[in-house]
Amino acid sequence: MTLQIATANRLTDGIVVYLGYDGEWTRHIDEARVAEREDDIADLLIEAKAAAAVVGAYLIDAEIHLSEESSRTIRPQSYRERIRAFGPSIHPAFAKKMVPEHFDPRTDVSAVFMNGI
Amino acid sequence: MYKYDEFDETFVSERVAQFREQVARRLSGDLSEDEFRPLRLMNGLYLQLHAYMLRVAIPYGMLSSAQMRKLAEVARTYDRGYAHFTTRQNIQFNWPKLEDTPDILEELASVEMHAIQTSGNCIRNVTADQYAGVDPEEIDDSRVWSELIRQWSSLHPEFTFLPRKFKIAVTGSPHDRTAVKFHDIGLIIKRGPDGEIGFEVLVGGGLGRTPMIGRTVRDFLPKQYLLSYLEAILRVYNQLGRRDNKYKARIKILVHETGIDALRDMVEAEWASVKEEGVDLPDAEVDRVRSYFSDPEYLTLPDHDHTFQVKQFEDPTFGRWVRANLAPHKVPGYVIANISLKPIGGAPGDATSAQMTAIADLADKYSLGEMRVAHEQNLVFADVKKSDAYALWKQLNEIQLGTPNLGLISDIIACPGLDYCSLANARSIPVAQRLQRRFADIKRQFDIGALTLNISGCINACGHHHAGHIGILGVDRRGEEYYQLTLGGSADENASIGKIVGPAFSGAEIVDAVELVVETYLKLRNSGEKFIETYRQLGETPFKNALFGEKQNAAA
Amino acid sequence: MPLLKEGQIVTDPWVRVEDDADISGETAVVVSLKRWLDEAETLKSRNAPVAVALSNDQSPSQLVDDLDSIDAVFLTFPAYTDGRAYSQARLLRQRYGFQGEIRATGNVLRDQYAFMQRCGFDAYDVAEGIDLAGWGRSAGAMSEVYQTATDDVQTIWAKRQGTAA
Ligand code: SF4
Repeated sequence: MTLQIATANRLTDGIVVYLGYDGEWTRHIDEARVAEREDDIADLLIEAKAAAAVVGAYLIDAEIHLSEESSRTIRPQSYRERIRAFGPSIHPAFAKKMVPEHFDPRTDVSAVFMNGI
Repeated sequence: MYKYDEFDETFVSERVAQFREQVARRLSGDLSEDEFRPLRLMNGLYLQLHAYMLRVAIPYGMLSSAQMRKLAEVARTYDRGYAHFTTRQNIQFNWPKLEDTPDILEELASVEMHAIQTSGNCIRNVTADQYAGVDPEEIDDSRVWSELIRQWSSLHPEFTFLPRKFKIAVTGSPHDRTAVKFHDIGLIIKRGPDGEIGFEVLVGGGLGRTPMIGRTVRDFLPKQYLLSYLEAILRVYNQLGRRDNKYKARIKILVHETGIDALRDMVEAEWASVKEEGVDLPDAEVDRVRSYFSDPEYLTLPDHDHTFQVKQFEDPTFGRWVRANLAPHKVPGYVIANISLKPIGGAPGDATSAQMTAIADLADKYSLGEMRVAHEQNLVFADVKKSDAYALWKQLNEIQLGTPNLGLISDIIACPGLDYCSLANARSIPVAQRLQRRFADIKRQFDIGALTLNISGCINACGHHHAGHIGILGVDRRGEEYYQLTLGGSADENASIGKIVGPAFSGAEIVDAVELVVETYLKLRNSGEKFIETYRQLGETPFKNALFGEKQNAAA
Repeated sequence: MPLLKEGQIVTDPWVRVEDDADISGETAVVVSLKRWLDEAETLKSRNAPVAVALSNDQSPSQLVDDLDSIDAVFLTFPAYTDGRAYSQARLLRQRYGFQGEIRATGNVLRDQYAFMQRCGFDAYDVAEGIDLAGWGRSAGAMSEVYQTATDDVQTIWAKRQGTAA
């Protein structure tokens, strides 16, 4: 089974958030609670959907990515979710902080584009 | 331009108060998201990929400098310092907070702007000609009728929960700049047998999944019956439009499934009764609205301006700007100046808060304090003196808005695409930027000539890809961004729908593919022939052959 | 289901009956359009009020000749986003001059209350425990209207002409 994390948009400002280990929603995808076993995944979705502070919760496929400094980052599988997590790709100034190396919008737009993030 | 009276003011400010209360109910948990969504949509508030998005109407594209300054202030104060002009004379803020939106709407109300019905299954902001009132060929001012439709449709009690969204365009000129044939209702102002003003009424045009060109439901509607006729069409649609399938719910499908003749019979039968029911406006109200759009006090100027001529020689880039971006004005000595929001490598239609403030100042200085927004995502100064054109252009250059590319290949229409939009399949803006860079050479652009290049990030077609001479549609292929090419679309009075050519291209291939299409045209064109003319002459085959090879085509 | 009329929750005298149900008594019954068309004469001769329920795809024009004998018409919102009943109500009230009750049933919510009122509805099936004061506020949230509809509210357009005259 692919690893799953729960995401949604925060009710008050619409910002993309992920459900963390402490039951709090976090802006940083690397702090997301990762579920692998089937019942953990089911629990994750139930908890995410029950939250009143967010809108439109759902699960996404993710993979754990180890960077050179061996710090652990999480990378969504679909490019839509990658743009959601790290984008917008055209606006480096407004892209999320803590951008992992597999997505660097600060490089030339076309280079990012060609690499297919 | 139109000024709110006490009633318009009350209407808009009560609407803000009502939304403030609805937002409070949502934040307190009184309203569920399902209950709240249509309410926020009716006030222009979407939830997009990264954040909420607020779409504000710019009715018939008119903006005063005070309104533009306010939009800049909203972008600076409540958003991230920029905003996006859309393909339907709206402006979008990409990062507002839900809790701030009532304040934003209140700010907007203070300059007579609102976000009412910029989303939802209701009658949307009415599109009009960005040259209205100044075009020498104009028959009547489309803004007058658009303002009346704006009022009539605002919180219309019967037509607020239609099967699907409903878009109306009005054009008053023989040359259509509103994409009138791609609207649910298109109103083309014309003269009747005795020279009186009226409308040809088209119905069922649209882009999206099933692009269709509007059909004529009535050849000539005397102007005094505009509202009753609209009401008759809307009532038929409200009752019979499909509600079982969102993709078949637009009126174009009703026209298609019922047939235009049967639909006409229903509309006319309905209208026969509606027109007796007091829906139409008295002439006095039409005249009242019209008075706001009367001509400003133009100066008596010679049509020839020496500096204007000389500068075009001295500064060839200015000469190009004059040729591409300026259009004739009905009054001697004046021109219409288009301001391109498509600098090479920018996001089409985006403007920063600083640019917006600077534009407002320039409008005060050079265009009687007003400007317009075009559906091509550009701005228009409608009343510029020829003698001021050079100074204006110089100052536009200081804010990166002097690009002389109107109507050329780098004047790309692009929707926000996957960088912002939650419905997208693929990104639009980066493709536009790469294409602009590829064709950055302005001499090459002038050699290529008039060409519309439109990009949508999904089949909803907000980037009007089917209506572009060259269209690009983002699709999802096994989790990758791919791009489908269409050729031969056109959004003017000779509207046509672009045809899909061949399989989709990857993100890496699409720019080369477009260049190949353009090179093919350059090779095949007769002298003086525009891209669309060559395409209409020769059809898709030579382009397909160039893209996919003759053999493969023959085999397919 | 509570019935809202003239801003108050009132008792609902109406009973919905199936097409084959016995209606020999003197209860106020709501019948389908089909039963009305089949049994109009019997229903008219009953000594009790009768209402007809229209589904969204049934045209009120089918009742035109009988409206004097009908006490109420029940219209429905399968979801509040389905606005067909607004047109049905306007036709009944405005074009055919129906004087009886026009009832909104189904997904009837306070944020559409004013629209329903403007189209000719005057009775509403509402959820248990609604916030009556809140409904009142919603109804009055927009004091000015532009377009002519079915109510007798003076429109902005009429007021302007009044001030101009
Ligand atoms: S065309 Fe699709 S991707 Fe582009 S803005 Fe419209 S819905 Fe979004």
